[in-house]
Amino acid sequence: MKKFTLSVLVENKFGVLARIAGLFSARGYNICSLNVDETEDPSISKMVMVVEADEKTLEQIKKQLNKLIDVIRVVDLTKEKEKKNG
Amino acid sequence: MKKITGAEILLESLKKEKVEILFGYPGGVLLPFFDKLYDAKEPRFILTRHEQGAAHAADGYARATGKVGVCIATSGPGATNLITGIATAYMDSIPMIAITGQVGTHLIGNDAFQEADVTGITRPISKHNFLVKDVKDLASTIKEAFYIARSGRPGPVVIDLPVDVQKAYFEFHYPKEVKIRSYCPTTEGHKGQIKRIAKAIEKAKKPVFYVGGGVILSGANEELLEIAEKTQIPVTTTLTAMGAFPETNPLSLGMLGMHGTAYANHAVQDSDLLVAVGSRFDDRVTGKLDEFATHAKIIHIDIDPSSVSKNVAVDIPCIGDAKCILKELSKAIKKNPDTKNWLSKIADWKKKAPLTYKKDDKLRPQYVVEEIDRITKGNAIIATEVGQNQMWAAQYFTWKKPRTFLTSGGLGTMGYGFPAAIGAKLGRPDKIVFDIAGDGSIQMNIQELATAVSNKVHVKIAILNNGYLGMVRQWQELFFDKRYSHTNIDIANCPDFVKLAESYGAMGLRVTKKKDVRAAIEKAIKEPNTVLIDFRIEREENVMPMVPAGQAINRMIGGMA
Repeated sequence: MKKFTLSVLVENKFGVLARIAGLFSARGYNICSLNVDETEDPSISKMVMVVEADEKTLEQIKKQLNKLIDVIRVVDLTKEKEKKNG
Repeated sequence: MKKITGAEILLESLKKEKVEILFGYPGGVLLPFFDKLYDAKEPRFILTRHEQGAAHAADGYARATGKVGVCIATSGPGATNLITGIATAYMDSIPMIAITGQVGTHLIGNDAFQEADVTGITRPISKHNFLVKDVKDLASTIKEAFYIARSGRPGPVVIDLPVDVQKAYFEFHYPKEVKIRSYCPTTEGHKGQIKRIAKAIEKAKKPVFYVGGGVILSGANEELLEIAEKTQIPVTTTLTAMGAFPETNPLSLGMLGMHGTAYANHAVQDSDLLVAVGSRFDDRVTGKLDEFATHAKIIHIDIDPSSVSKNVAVDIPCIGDAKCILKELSKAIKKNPDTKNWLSKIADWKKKAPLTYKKDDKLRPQYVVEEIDRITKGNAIIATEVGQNQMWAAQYFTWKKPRTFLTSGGLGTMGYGFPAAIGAKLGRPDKIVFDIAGDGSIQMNIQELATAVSNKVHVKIAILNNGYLGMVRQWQELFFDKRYSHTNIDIANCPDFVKLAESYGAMGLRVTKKKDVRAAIEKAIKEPNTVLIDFRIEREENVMPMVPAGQAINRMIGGMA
């Protein structure tokens, strides 16, 4: 089990946060921290989340996020964050 | 440009999407739409007697025709009555649109009369959902909804439509194109991956095609037949893929998994290359995961990346549309694998452990299924309920064509079959349509007898009546010491199905002896009406073979050791 950081670009519409939260709770994934903010493009929001999981589960999380219609892109920031901190 | 109401925009948009049939039930917040529907010549509206019936009918219509099924219900209880139907379609990836009326936008969140948070409730069981808050977004939302429902991995999409939006005026422009920047499903497979798969197939000694519902959704049955025959690789299908590969073909292994054939399960467990196409390694198929196909390299061709390596580690994935990929894969295979010994080993298993049941003069459900198959010459469309009736139908019909077997595989919804059969018959009126039911399941949507009779949709219902909730009783017999806890709905406590059918204006028949089965089926087919046949079968007949839950699939009860 490890902490991974994901940056998710989403459509800035109501219900998107609920959709992502629902995805996590339905499959038993845990969100340790979550930050949501509008980007320079007001139609796009960026969510940065820290999730606790093993490698295999993280792969599934990324795939399930990408499957959501309102999710534009998923980026794994974990290695970058480790470089910064380490 | 002329302005029309949201209700008219909805109607015109459905026409633009070439919707021919709409299943549903009216209500207060749908009055504006239904008023427009009153004068409309199309689509044809089918009033069901429960919203669940409308959802299952739209689902059955979609499975039988390949088109998007559409259902509509009012707010609150109307919408919540659709939930089981939407979840059923979601689990089996069926393209469907569910339109729900909603209270006015200014009342949303106010605990108004017949208000329910439909977008919240349907979020986890739909591919996507929309709440239309402004009439100017309505036409484009409907276009997007249909696109999402039918593209990529299909699924149900919910459109929640408040009553004031239906009454508001706007110009009608139906968009010519739809583009969603965050949703771009892959169609063509990666060429490099296809080459790797082709090489793996060329080298295999004991390959098996493991085919799922995705092959039917993709319309890939011809490509599958071509590649299987070219490479002489045997094919096994999941419950939702029956008919994707003709069972009359010697390469067919029938169904695999919990109630699959012994030889299909042994082939998978013994294989050195498992080519999964449009399937998802569901627990009914894999049994004990760490003992599943342990000798095989796993290939997975699927349109949904999240299905790949979800349960079983995949060696060579290829994301894309099954039809496209199988076509390219066949071309990429330069040398066919040598499967002669493998096929003869399988032929041996088929001889040693065929699907079988006791053939005496008692009335057994497998015989009823075989007779329906024989008399309809295998050309009927068969819907099923859930449980033993469903398994016997899957096992004892000889499946030849796709879109002829309509069954709730993923969710396993009792009460699905009868309304689905109605939807299928409306979509393919030239076909004979049967619902294979149990005495428990048929009572869940029995009210749809009114829908069938009043719309002259001549569906035939075959109830395999054993006076039990059969599948649960079977598990209680095998694993709970025959403690039949609340599964006995015996003949004395069941309704008289013949009288029940007649009360709705349908024809009712009862068969208690094996020798009367044939005549009853023939009479039912001839009769220009909805017909229900109550077959009084052997009460404690079991579905065999069976892989107990959590066991490896080669350790079957009633199969070979």
